[in-house]
Amino acid sequence: MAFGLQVPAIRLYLVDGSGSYSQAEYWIRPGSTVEDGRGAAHTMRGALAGLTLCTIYGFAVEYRGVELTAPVAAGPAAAARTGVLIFTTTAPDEYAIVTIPGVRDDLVLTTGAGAGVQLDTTSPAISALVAELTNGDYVNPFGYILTGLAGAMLQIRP
Amino acid sequence: MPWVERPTASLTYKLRDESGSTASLALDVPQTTLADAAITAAGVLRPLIEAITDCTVVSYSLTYASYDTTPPAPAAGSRVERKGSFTFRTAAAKTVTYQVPGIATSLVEPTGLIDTSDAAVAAFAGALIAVDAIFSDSNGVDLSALISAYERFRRSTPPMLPPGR
Repeated sequence: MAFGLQVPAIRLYLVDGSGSYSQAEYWIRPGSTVEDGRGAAHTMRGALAGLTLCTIYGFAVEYRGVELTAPVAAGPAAAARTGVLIFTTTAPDEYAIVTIPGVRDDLVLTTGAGAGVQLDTTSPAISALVAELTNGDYVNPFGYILTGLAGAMLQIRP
Repeated sequence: MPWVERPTASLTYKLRDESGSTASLALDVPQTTLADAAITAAGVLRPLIEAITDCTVVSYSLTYASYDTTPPAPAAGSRVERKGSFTFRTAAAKTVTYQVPGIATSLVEPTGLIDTSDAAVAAFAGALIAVDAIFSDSNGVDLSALISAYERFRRSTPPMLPPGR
């Protein structure tokens, strides 16, 4: 099972005089870099200036991968049963939250003070994921690198 | 009107459970991360995610976003539901349609067709079909010619309707 990479795209974000929002998406050549995409967005912004009465207030360069042969999810998975992992970062008092939909039931502690709520952070599967997320490549939305796991729990997120 | 890049790019996985319900797993990587590197990382991370969830990972998206910090006000009377619909022929003799929200009414003829002789329309089409243009259809095939342009209206979604109605 491998992701099939779709053609990348740029997406422009527009707002009209009534405050309503919309998007306009344009595909760009396969293999385009992020800088290529930004250039395309600048080009399109100029090209649209004479066509739209809306304001273009932002854009995004997007790459998508799709699993073409996704297997059926193992039961009794429920996307709402969410594992919440809290990470420390390189900045003091700055944290990151990573949510795992459908977290496995056998990763939830069954004994001790955290029974039924806390996740087993000694689990090899959780340890492997944490090791990957704290390898320096991942950050929180403010750009601070994830450094370690501060807590892990189960939440129901319908 | 400068563009300002977000400090991070978003890597978001879509997961599906046994009932068919979907949910997302969102991560951030530095904005300076090359797309190829982030895509590779997404593939490395996937089995690690699958090892702790009973859901199936069905897709991911990697998004690098930028915003105008001082955008001008939109023109009075503009409405995103009023679209300019532009259909292009591709180098593979197929077609692709791109829409422009809030199409300028001055470009629309009484018939509903868009005036393709207008300089702004010609410049827009030219930017998409130029020999060195980066734009393509969903298969990555270059665009070759504009074959039709007209106005169309899309349904208003609840957020687009006026408040207090």
